[in-house]
Amino acid sequence: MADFPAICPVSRRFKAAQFPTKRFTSISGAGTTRLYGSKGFDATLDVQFLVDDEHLVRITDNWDESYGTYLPITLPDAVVASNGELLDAIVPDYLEWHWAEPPSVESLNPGLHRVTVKLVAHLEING
Amino acid sequence: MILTGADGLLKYGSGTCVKVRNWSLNISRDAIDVSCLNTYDREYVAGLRSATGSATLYYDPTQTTDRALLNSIFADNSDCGGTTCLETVSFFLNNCASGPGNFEAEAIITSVSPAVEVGAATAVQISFQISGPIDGTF
Repeated sequence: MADFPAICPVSRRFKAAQFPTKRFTSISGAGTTRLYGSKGFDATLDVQFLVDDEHLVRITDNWDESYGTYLPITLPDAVVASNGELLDAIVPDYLEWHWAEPPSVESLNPGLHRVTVKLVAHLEING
Repeated sequence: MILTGADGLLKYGSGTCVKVRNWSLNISRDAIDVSCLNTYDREYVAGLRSATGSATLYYDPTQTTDRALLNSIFADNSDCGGTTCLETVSFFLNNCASGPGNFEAEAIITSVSPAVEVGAATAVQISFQISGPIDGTF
């Protein structure tokens, strides 16, 4: 498990876990929704950072150390700053954060970059 | 030594100083907001510099340097060898002497506004957009 670098983000967007349900609708329009598990999965967290070259490298290093989306990562308090306890309360313990996609880097000025990081909290089969 | 308008000059290209009533130079720099979550005080880092300038020239048809400066507004990119028409403009707080208070930069003339008035010397207001770095210090 790789530690994500402790950098304070400039924005953060969270989407709660979804549940494995499926809606079956009959010809009449009436239907029923089935629940296929009691655990949520795939909560998402999108964070943006304004960072210098050094911190940009630390973020991309974490992507490499995690083998992309393969290994789970731990989020330090700085990343969930001000919402740390709230995030812990609303994200089930059995979920593990992973990279959802490669980091996206927009260079704004010499030595200043806007990095968008998209994370997803997976429910592992052995979890 | 306190300087006055008598010490100020404006020079265009490699020519002599043009006859100006006044000039001004405005140098500014962006402040980029890098405030992050969990803070209550904004933080900034320095961004890009930019500068604009303006001047009021006396109109004298016999002054070729002054006229060249005014006529540069009519130059198209093709007239400048296919590149952007940048002119070297030098601003002098302290006469044409070298040293502090003098600035030189590449600029595009962005406006030329001649005006005629009864009982006053005919003058032309011009504006510059500085391109690239400014050479000089206060």
